[in-house]
Amino acid sequence: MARKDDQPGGVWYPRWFWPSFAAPATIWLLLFFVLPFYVVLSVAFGRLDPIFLTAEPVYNPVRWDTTPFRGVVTRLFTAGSIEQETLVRTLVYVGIATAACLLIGYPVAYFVARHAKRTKTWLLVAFIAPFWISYMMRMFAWVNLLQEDGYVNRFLEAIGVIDHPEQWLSGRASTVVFGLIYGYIPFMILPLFGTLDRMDRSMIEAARDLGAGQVKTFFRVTLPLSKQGILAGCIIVALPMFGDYFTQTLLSSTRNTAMFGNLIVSSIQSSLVNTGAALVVVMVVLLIVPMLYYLRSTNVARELAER
Amino acid sequence: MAHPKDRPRPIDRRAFLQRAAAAGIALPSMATILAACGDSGSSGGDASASAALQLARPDNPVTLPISADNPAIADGLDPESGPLKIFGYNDYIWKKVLNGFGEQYGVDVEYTVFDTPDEMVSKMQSNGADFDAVVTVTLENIGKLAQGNLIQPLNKTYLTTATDQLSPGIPDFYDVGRQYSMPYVIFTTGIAWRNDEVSEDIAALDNPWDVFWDPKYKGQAHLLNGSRDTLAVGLLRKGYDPNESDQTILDQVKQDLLAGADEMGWKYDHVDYTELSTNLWQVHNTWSGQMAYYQYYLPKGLDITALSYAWPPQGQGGQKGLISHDLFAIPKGAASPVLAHTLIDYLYDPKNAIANYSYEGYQPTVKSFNEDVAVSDGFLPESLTYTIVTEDMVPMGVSELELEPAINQLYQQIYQEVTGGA
Repeated sequence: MARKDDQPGGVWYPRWFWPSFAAPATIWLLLFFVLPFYVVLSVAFGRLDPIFLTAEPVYNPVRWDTTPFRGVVTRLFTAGSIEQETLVRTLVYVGIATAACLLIGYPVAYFVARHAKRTKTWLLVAFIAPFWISYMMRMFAWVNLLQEDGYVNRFLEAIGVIDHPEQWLSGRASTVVFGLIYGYIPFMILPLFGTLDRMDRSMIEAARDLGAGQVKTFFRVTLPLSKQGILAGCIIVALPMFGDYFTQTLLSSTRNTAMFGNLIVSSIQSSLVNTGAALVVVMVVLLIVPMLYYLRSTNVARELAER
Repeated sequence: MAHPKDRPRPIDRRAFLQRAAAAGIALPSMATILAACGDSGSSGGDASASAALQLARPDNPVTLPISADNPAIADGLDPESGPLKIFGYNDYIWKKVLNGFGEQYGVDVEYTVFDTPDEMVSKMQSNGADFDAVVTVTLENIGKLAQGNLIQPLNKTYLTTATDQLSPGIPDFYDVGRQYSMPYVIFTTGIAWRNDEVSEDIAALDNPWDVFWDPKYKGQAHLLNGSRDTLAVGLLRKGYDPNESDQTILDQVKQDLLAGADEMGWKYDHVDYTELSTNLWQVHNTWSGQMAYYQYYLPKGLDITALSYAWPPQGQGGQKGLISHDLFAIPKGAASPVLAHTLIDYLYDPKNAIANYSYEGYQPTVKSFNEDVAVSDGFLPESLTYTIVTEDMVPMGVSELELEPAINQLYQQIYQEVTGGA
């Protein structure tokens, strides 16, 4: 079966031709997301080896044991449990870090998109260049910068902000949040830059022609029009932050700053592997909510644009 | 045919790119999901062994059973052509020593790393036969590996040097007759401190373990990571056995540890030597073998004499302390078991054992090795002789031994609560 392309004079393609372009991505998702996630479910609802306390996944859903999963959910709603403490702390860290990324990233993206002109490309490259180095190496660098006799303390002492060296790496929430902001901020700036750069300038000119000042134009035109970029940036930044455990491990590694990802990793590296897998399921459910909101929002925005 | 605008609209290019980017960036958070798949291997052990699991103790020595389907290799076989596949902690045998073995026997040596004993057990279950020698098995795991048929009995006819050179003070209550294992290195677990920053002599305290709860060291005290070592600090501080199974005692110790974790801001790691350069700790729970590394990681301006080490049983208070040794074992189904035996024997050759020690820092269980050899041959500074374990120290210490699975899991739950997963 074949059909003719929509364009006049177009060629005929088999019906499967265009959909087949999605095949690599579909196979990738099946192999590296759907299948592993099913294994996670099989571990979460599976058993433990009675001697070795290692996971024995149960692949038949009929035989799944929901006890460990129910235990995790119960503890998530139990005040003072490590699961609830860690979840709340992670939500707070991610919320603050995402907001900070937005507050820092928006002006940067705005400047580059609207005012940088010929230096635009260079500014973008300069901004992204440090991120060609791996995340781990950059965090190791911060361990050195933030140590007691590191450059951060030396600088702050030199300009009189602090009297004596601070222990930035001794389990401070502020250090972990700083690490998250530093690690993920480019992922906020890039979608914001894309949105602001593509924005129809005639809308802004129209607002100015109608008497709106710079501030009013920004809040009534520019900001609403960049909503999709803000939303994309927040989602892109917040989702990986939620699963991050490496930043905390390197910059703090104490109980009072542990994040949800730390709890998962420590569980799956021990005999609490059922718990770890159950925590992964909880995390995925939690992350699906903002992801669905984002997808719905983009659909609504597209429909509005097409009217 | 419907007008293109009226047809169900596939996702457009821009939306596709936006969503693909979002999904792509979100993937790192899925790393934990994929990581969770790592432990999903099927059990290779003998589940029926659970009923027969015998917990070895110094006053309850255990002769590990040898089953008919898991015999030792026959006598007089020639070493295989390799490669020899070793499974061990990172850098736990000096590469130069392994290269020497490879050259002598004309084989390639491959070294695969594990990070924790739990990881070792898990991989032994799923892929144990992929390896020829495990370096090392900890005392708390040897029983379950043998009783679960994951390791094979040793044939002592291939271990003549090892049998001759093995230090006589090393106990074998966990594997009477050493049917499945040979000791590799011996070490104590104690307290290291920076005496250039800490004014008190921790070794002279009535209870040196108290330093981990002393507010003077808030933010500067690190514990070893791992459920057994972290809980051992709490148990030993109160004079309990590090293998305690009484739930009331464990709960009491958990509360002490939670209070300490909150008030002191403990960190949990075993890289104390690399942290010397970043000045991250003043007091660190550590292994004596680790202390020998310190001389190679000292930052500019810090002398090795600025570091001290206390093993509480030798202190004035005579508190309990850990002493242990790691073991060699050969997985069941190993492709090159003769080569694996040969490697163990090779590492017991005093020349190779001392060469390995010169890099490794952990003390070989070879009887011709002692403090004089270590110092006179220039492998150990005089100021680090306290890291040497002597025969008279062995009965003074206690070891972390195998626990009932349910108690083992309880230890890990407590550890997770204390560390918060950090």
